[in-house]
Amino acid sequence: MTAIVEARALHKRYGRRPALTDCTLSVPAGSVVGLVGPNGAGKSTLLQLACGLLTPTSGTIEVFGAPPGQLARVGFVAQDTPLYPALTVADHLRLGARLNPRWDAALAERRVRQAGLDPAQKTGRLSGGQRAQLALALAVAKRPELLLLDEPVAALDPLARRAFLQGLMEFVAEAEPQATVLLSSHLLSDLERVCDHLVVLADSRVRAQGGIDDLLATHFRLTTARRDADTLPAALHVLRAEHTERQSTFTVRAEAHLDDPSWVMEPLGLEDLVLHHMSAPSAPSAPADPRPVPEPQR
Amino acid sequence: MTWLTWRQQRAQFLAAAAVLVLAAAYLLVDGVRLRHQIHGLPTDCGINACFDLERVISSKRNAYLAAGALVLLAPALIGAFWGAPLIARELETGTHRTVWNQSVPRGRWLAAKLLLTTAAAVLVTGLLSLLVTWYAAPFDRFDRDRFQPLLFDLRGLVPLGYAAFAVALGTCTGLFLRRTLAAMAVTLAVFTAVQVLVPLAVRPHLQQPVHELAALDKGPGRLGSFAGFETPSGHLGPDARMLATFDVPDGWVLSDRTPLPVRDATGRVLTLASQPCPRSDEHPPDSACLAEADLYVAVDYQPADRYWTFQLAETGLYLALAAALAALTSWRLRRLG
Repeated sequence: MTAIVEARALHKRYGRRPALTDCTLSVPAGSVVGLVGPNGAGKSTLLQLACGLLTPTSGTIEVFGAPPGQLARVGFVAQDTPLYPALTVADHLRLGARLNPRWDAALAERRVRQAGLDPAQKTGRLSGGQRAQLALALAVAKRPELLLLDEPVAALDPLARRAFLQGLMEFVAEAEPQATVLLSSHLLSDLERVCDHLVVLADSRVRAQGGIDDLLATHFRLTTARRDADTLPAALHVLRAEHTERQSTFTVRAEAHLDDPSWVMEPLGLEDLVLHHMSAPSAPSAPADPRPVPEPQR
Repeated sequence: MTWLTWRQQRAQFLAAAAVLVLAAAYLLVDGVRLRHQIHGLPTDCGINACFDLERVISSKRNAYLAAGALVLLAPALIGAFWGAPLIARELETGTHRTVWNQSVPRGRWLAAKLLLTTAAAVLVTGLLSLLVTWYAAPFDRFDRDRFQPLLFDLRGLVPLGYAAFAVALGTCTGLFLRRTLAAMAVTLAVFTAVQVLVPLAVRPHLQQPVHELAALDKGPGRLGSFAGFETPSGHLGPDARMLATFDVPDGWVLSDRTPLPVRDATGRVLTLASQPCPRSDEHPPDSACLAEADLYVAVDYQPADRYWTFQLAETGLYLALAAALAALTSWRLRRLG
């Protein structure tokens, strides 16, 4: 298994404010990884560290096994998709062609045409959705092996959101060489359709990470008659316990489903899983899944 | 990269070219007309001997001043409007995050932007300076003051150095402040301060000035004459010092006090009591006698033949400053983040 992005004990502070704390994560080749977390959780910081726009305060981040900066191999769509307002759509494609050796002009033009963009239009007059589509065209036509997208759909209406993610999926399916994608959003619903891996960030820390199938297969909700958490078998790692007068509800992590007549154990939905990790108290840096991340299944 | 810089800046470059063409059209036509008008008039004239020439020159004085103002303002405006937004606008609008993630490293991005903009700035200012230097030549032959601090800035090579410096200053300020408007204001303020400071504190020392006990009204290329007596109390006492004005045509007199105290051949300052000509209590010294007497002033000056040495040295100084600022910008840019 090759890791495309590998972060070890990565810290980034702006002045005294921590933006990313003790981040250790690994992005396997060919995966589509969603970074989910509330605003200010450190998603942008992590992505900008990965593309070399920011440098770490401490710790290391490696992309393709080297410090970030292999510009030709990495595509980046920045938050709010900044483009030159006075330049036209065609000017932006020309910019891409002149500034990127591996530029795929046919791909760029096809994407622009599919998005219904007028090449003569100045980008200052485009809608948010059209700008995002152009930014995506610019990023994918350089044929990146790693594509980083920072909240690409945050400002878009539901239709534009759908169109954008559709375009992204097409790129992933067609990409040659195989591409790895890391995209962030504060909404899980944007990510679950396109991602096979998830990294949950909150308060500048990684709270959970892993393959989505894997996360789903190891997180459960356990409902029992009222009992204490420490009376549960050791195979169940209790993440959270809630008690009413007669009933206890546990959020647990376990290797596998564990049958027992005294409880009902049901899989935790992805949304609940993410919400749980986001809202867990920040003090103990939630141990990232210690097992190696399995190869993505796509 | 060159294409992108050109595409981003072309409106400004074309506007500058338009101003240049208009100025050139006016100054060329007017300069040729001026040369026709003064053709054949005596040029080497003493006091009041070339009234016709003076009349023609005076009639063109406004155009001469306007042309000078153009060369004076061009580098400052270029620094504020081309230099300051060069990086600041990208940082302000976030487009740096797009352009720095194409396959071109930041250093090359900066180099292309800075070199092309500096080249355009130097070209525009250089052509303007060439034009104005040519236009003002009859004025300079008449006024003989092109080495004077303000006029020195408006001729020859130095405007090229100023333009390169202004662009680098604006770019660097923009990178550190990250705000276009603030960077423009600071660029203008700093550039103006440097332009005032250099003639006052740096330029006089580019070469050791000539220190000389110079004879009044004697020797070629000097203009000195007895001006009167210093009467601090309003009373013409025996210790009132003799004063004289002194000028070096086409040169630059640095002695800050004019008129200067008059001295004898040994360098001693002369007073009413020690001056050599006959006088009485009622009458000041005989002026015909004073005109014949050996009177001197101690003067520091830069001679006229150093003009181009100074032009080259100051241009070099500003180019070195520009290079240092560009290096600082590049260093800072690579560590940004």
